Amino acid sequence: MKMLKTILKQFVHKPATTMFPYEPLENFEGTRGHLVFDPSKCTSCMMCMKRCPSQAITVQRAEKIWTIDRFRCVMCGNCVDVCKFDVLSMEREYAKSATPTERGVETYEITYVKPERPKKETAE
Amino acid sequence: MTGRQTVIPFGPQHPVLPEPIHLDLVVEDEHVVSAIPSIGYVHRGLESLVDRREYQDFVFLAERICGICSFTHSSTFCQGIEGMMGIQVPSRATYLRTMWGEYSRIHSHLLWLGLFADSLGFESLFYQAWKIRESILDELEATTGGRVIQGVCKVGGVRRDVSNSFLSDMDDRLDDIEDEMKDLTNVFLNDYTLTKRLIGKGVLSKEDAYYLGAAGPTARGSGLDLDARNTGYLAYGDIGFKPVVEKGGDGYARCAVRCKELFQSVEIIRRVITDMPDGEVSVPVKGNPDGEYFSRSEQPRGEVIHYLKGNGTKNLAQFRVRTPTLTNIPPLVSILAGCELADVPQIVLTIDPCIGCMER
Amino acid sequence: MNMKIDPIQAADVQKTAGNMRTGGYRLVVITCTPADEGYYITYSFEKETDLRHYRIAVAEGTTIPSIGSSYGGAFVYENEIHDLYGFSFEGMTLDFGGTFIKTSVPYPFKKKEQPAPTVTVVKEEKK
Repeated sequence: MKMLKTILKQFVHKPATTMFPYEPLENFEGTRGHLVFDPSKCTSCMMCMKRCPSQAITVQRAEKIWTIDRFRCVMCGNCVDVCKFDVLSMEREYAKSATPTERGVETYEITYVKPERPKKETAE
Repeated sequence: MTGRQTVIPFGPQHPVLPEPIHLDLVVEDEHVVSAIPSIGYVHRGLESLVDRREYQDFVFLAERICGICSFTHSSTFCQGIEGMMGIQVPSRATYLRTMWGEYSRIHSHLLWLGLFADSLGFESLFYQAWKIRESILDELEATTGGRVIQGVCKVGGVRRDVSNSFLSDMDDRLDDIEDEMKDLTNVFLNDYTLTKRLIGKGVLSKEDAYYLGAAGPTARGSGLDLDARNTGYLAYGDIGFKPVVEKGGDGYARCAVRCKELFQSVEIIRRVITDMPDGEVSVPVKGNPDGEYFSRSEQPRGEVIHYLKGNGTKNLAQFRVRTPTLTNIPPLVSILAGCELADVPQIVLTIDPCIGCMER
Repeated sequence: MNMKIDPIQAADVQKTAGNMRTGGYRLVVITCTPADEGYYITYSFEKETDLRHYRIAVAEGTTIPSIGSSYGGAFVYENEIHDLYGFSFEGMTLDFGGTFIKTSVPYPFKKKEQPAPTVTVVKEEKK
């Protein structure tokens, strides 16, 4: 008889799942969705490449190219913690799918220019 | 009277098993005489990656050993490295780790209740149990950033903090979750069909459970007071803890232990929220680990041991995990001798096999 | 965590296990780790917060007596050590003969002359 309450509730309750394509999907602030790279601040120190647990990031210092393999990235956030120049950050939406021919590899060109230090005046 | 003996293979593909394990059942006219296990279908060799990743990055690999018990693997690993290097973790971080560990236990027991109902044919009960589990996963995602793999422990503390106002809101939401869990466990413990399939089936005596090495709810359902939380690691020493013990030794006793542990975990979370100290959540770590250490803690399925050995460089020398499912295999072999063939899937499920963990 | 480890001889393993069994201790884990010379095998027993470890030092490929007569559940650990490190135990309760954990490389955790490279390089796929 106690199960009768649960059965009758099913007729009047709204559905427990979100009607996905018609209603937007909501997750929480601080959810580790996908990784975002800012090319204008990266100094090519290669710390993110050394500390990634799944080896998803490759940096080529001579050609100034930063690539990430989206299929290997597990969104752990270790590169965000290790980078000292605030280049990487985590956004809230879940990662988008990719087609098999691209293999999910994205390439960015680093556009950082090291600022010139003003010439020191020699002391007389 | 001896009938003719046949050997029937059970698994690795079976609708009841979430992960592949193989049992050869020696059967004599519908009674099982003995069972021989065979494992190794998901062996990935994670332990040998330890000489290729630095010890601080290895936390992310340790938590991916298993999907259901992932938080306790990362917390035990961090506890092992901190013990080896002599690091004192701030008390707010230990209370937060206790809270997330108990949430992880609730979600694992609700997952088991759903799978068990599905194995007997109660599909709607399976969905009701997992619907409650979704609200627990929402709490985990809001505080840590990940639903299944949390990624929030690091050597020296935890990676992010939870504000006190959020914690008091969480306390109110726990009341609704607890009411729904009461309706659900009432069905498991009192329904006529479920009790007929559980009472008296798969009996494990207290002597056998102790000397064959049972752990977790498998041991506590046979009257043994075995729980790694008795040693008082993390915040359990301050809060005070008594394990839930049942005396039946059959499948009903193990199911009752898991149902009662759901409510005990909610109580522990409420105590942790009331007593949460203030302060910082991590300390900086310098140097490399050297020496060896045994780190123990209580997973939802039993007692897990991590053995860590360092040699003074950035990579650990050896890492070995002994999970509770590995030590529950000899009791399973002894339970299966003498039962009926139609009861074998339910009995295999009552020890809660997590094969991905067992064979890392 | 009690880290005191008592070294014993390989021939005394069954006697120690028998003493632990009459004393009411349960077997926790059997661990194998490579040492400078050969390997160490550690047996851990526990009774109500009293945790003890006993360690034997063995060279590669020796035969060790099994403690299956005192603790029936030890066959899991002994078969695993046999399949990963190459030791043989005599008198196991359930002997799988090397098929407990099936790996493509036999005895994968033995000490190797060349250690593995620190960062594995991913080869590019050519279309």
